[in-house]
Amino acid sequence: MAVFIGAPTSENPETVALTARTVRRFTSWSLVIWVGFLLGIAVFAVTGSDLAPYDPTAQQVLARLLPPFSSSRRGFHWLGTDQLGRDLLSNMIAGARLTLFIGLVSNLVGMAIGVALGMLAGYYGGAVDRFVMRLSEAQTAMPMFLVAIFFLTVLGPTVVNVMIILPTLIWPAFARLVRAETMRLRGCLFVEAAVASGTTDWGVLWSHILPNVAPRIAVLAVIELGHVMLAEAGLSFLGIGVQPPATTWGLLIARGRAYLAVAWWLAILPGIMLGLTVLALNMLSRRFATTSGAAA
Amino acid sequence: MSENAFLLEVKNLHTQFITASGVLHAVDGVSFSLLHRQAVGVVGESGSGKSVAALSILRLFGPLDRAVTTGEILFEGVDLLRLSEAELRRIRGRQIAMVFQDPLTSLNPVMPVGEQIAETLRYHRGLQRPGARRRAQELMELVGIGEPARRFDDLPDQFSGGMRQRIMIAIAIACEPKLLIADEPTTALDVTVQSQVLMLLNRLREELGMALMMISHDLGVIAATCDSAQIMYGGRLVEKGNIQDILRCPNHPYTAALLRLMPRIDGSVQRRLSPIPGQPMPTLGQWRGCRFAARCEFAREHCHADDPPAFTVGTDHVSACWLAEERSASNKGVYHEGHEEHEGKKI
Repeated sequence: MAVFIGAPTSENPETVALTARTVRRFTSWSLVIWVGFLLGIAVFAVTGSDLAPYDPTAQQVLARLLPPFSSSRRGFHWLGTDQLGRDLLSNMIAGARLTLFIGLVSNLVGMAIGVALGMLAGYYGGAVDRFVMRLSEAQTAMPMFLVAIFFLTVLGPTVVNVMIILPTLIWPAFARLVRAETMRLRGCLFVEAAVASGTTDWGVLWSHILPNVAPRIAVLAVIELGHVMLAEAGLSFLGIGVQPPATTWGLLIARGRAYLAVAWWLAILPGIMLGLTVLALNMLSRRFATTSGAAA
Repeated sequence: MSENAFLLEVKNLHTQFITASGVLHAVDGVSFSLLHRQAVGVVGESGSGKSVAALSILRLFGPLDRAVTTGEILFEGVDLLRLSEAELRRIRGRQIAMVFQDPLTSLNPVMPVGEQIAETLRYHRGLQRPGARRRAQELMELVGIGEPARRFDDLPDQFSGGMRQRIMIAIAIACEPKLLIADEPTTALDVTVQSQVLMLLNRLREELGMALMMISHDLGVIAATCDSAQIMYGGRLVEKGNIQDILRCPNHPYTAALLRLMPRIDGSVQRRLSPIPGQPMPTLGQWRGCRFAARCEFAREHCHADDPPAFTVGTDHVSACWLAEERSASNKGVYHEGHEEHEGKKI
């Protein structure tokens, strides 16, 4: 930002002013905190267990169920240890990776499916539209969590299967949003003008409709990322999601549930982490929605 | 293709919309032709079918419009109605281009304007990015946008309405089309900008040797840009001819009424503008007789019962009015009293 203001003579003063204004309008202290929080999570996710103070799987029989801020022979445990003496902070850092990975991939896949189907339905209408809309209504009408449980029980609880089932939970939200937007844009004069100058249907969808819906898709995607992460936690909690020794926050909550009475931190702390992450994502998307004028 | 063959020949064009309340005949048996480099104006009030006729030529209806077009649209001898969607795409933008009414919404709001010009060039001319960019900047220069290199990456909302219409024109002429269809290109602009845009269109038509089909409700716009004019009412052509003949000596009562509606700066202050009584009839379902009969002060029973064919009332001047037949039979004067200049070419 300072760079932009410091060098207004570089090329185009208006562009520079515009960028600086946009940056300023987008910034606020609460936003900085939320973004910083998400960035921190992302750093943990990328580095994985390298940043963890201890090996997340190392057990220590003599240091079981230690409360936060206590020390064992191994050293200081910021967030305590679990029933096998594993360091909770190390496990949460290690779990960030898979939690975010599953969330992001499932979200991207669900978004791609939803956006593609929504654009086709909105652009061509007719039978395509009816097909896509019935499909999305069927999805909405079914208790999809039960379907997911059934699917994972039959095919086995693996990370890949979880990432196959999670997109089916979220694509209708994208499809409905994009369909409505595409129908609106389809009637816009600039789309008609593009058709009149010989652009193909694909060209119209890709370079005229998609860029105009993109801000709204981004807003929805951030919200849906939170949903997906919660759904993953739910599946792992039920024991049909990610399996040990792999770790996600959902799995940590599930493991800690049995000790809730004697060691509250095992379930509560990963739960707070998950809640804060979803909250941060919602804050970010709301902020983005108001500044870009794209209410989701 | 020889020079004196028709560039565009529309024969018995019908465009109908299937609506919930019945079949709407938006264009009902329209025929006209256009020579190379000729400029023709299509005039009519809202709902007269003039825009739909233009959209029919390029088949610019979405699947949701439920439009049915029949007849023949011969462009350089090829019937556009028989072409597949893919074949038609090679005509759109390359041979026939279109400029729309509202420049504020006819540009993609999130794409740099230069990019929108370059897109057409890349698509139809197969130019690579740098080449398309260079050519797009030349086109921006040509339509009168200063500093094209600097403004290339600006978004549409950084341009005024008149400038955006210039961009639209640049997109339309990017591939040097043989025919430019301008659908009320100046309606959304104020008068001074309007005349600049009309002058630009005239200049470009001259330089590029394009034919022009100018659609407007404003006879003044047509007079400023076109050689000949066609008046539409209720989906039909009611009169067509040389623009001078139409202005001086309108034959059809509707044309005469339109001219009486135009405020004249040289007219007397006492002369009142006289609105046409009644409303345009909805063109739903079957219809017999002259469309204008219900509002026409000269209408007789005959007019309500039978469709008037096109009568020749002068050199290249035809009028679809039963009165035109009577008058050409009795060979006497025009009836549009109140219009000052009727000493023109009479039959």
